[in-house]
Amino acid sequence: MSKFFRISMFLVAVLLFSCGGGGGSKQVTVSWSANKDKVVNMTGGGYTLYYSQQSSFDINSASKTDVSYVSGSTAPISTKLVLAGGVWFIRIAAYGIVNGIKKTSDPSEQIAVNAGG
Amino acid sequence: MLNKLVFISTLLFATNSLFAEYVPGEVIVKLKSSSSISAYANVSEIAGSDLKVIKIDKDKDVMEAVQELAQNPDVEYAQPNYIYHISVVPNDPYFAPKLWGLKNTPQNVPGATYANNPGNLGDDIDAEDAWGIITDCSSIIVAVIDTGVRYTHEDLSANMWNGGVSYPHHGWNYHDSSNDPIDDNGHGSHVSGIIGAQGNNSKGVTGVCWRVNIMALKAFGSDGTGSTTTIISSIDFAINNGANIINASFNLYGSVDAALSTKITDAQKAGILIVAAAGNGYLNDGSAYDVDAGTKTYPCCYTQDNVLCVTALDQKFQRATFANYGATSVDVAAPGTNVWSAWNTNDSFYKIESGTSMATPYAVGVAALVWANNPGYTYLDVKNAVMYGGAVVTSLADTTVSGKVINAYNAVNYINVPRGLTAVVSQ
Repeated sequence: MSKFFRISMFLVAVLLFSCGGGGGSKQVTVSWSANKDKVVNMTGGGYTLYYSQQSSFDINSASKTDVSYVSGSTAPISTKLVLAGGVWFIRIAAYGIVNGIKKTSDPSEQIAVNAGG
Repeated sequence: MLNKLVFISTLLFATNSLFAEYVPGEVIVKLKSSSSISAYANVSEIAGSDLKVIKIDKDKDVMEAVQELAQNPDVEYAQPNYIYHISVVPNDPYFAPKLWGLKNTPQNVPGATYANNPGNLGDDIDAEDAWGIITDCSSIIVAVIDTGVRYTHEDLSANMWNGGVSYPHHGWNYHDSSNDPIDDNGHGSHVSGIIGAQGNNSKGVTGVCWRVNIMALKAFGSDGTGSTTTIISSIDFAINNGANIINASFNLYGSVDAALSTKITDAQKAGILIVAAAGNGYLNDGSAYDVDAGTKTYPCCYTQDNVLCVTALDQKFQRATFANYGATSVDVAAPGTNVWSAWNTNDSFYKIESGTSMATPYAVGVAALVWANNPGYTYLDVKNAVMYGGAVVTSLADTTVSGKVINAYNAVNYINVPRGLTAVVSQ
């Protein structure tokens, strides 16, 4: 392999990395308004974030992150996701324990975020 | 044949699983004699029985675990640990024989004037189940803008709003410009009884709320007519005196009343939910129509988000023939035929009535239960719980916004869809 070819490949790799493409990822801060439902803001309650690169996605086949109640008067209302470059679609649902079983709200409308790339 | 049996059994099993609730992470098993269940680490005895409880991973589907265990040769049978609910039954004598909207047995409602009597078992708002969670709405003030309230009635007197020395008769009379909103028609007392006739007092009927604060605002005369001025003054009183919900079992046909619309916006800013009747045909002629396509009824058709518009169902959960509808204007349905409640004739008088005027206070009562159970709610949280926490009625899909009839139990247990979702790339 010639020296010129190796230098060229290195420069291409640096270029891809600096542009965030080719698998580069971004940290995305997701926030929402606190639900007022009692069961969401107590032990066993919280939120589930669903995210996908498919628009109008089915939450059952999407990636998800749980943001559960820890302490205090409300469950957390933000979290950070590390997402690969590109456009992502995000939805959120609230949940709580109702009469001993986990009950989840309908998911919100989706929002879009461009994680670059 | 065996295949068919297995298929039928699976269907029944699936049907049961749709309705029954069970404890997550637990399965109950009965072992065959002299068998053990050593493969499972977390097994405990149920006191007073020969059954055992097996703890499984909480994320594992209970029904899947039941099916797996049922195939274990050491297991005689396996089942979920079902959750039971207490059902609270008030001792009011008219509850069981007359109040089908709260519990449809299906009783033959005495004195009925509307068809489909008796109705269908269970076509009700599941009040008993909701009362297992909450009966007391005494943290909530409901303003009834109507013909006044017979505040001395045996089933209403304990649940009237306390206006102190300024308002000794529990509200105001804007129709006659006095401090005495006594009911000279009966309509307002009937509406009030559906919302909050005192429950479990061994008298007459029970309201959806057993305890509540009814603010009597008389905007309508004995002939059942009121005006822009009496109504907006009543709303203003409700705003200034801490009302949470307004019952508006009245209609204006066709004209957008700018003054009333502005006052409804004022109520919105004050955080008040206004529950309005869809109307009984045009000018109450009893021939239902689509308010989206025909003459609009107000305040039902105002677009402020603090307005919840209600149509009426009968004892078989069919929309009443008089009950207006509208896929974009009428939000939800509620029981509204052959409804027994308090009346103004004397302090122990009750009467049967039908109308969207009667459906509206059912929704108000459920809203008050929801709000009392979740004091942090906004009017929009309450409205969503009442609308979307209802039960699906197929025939309402094209005639209401939600396609649902109110359900007290589901509404009290509703979890709102989170709002205000945003995302920012931070790195």
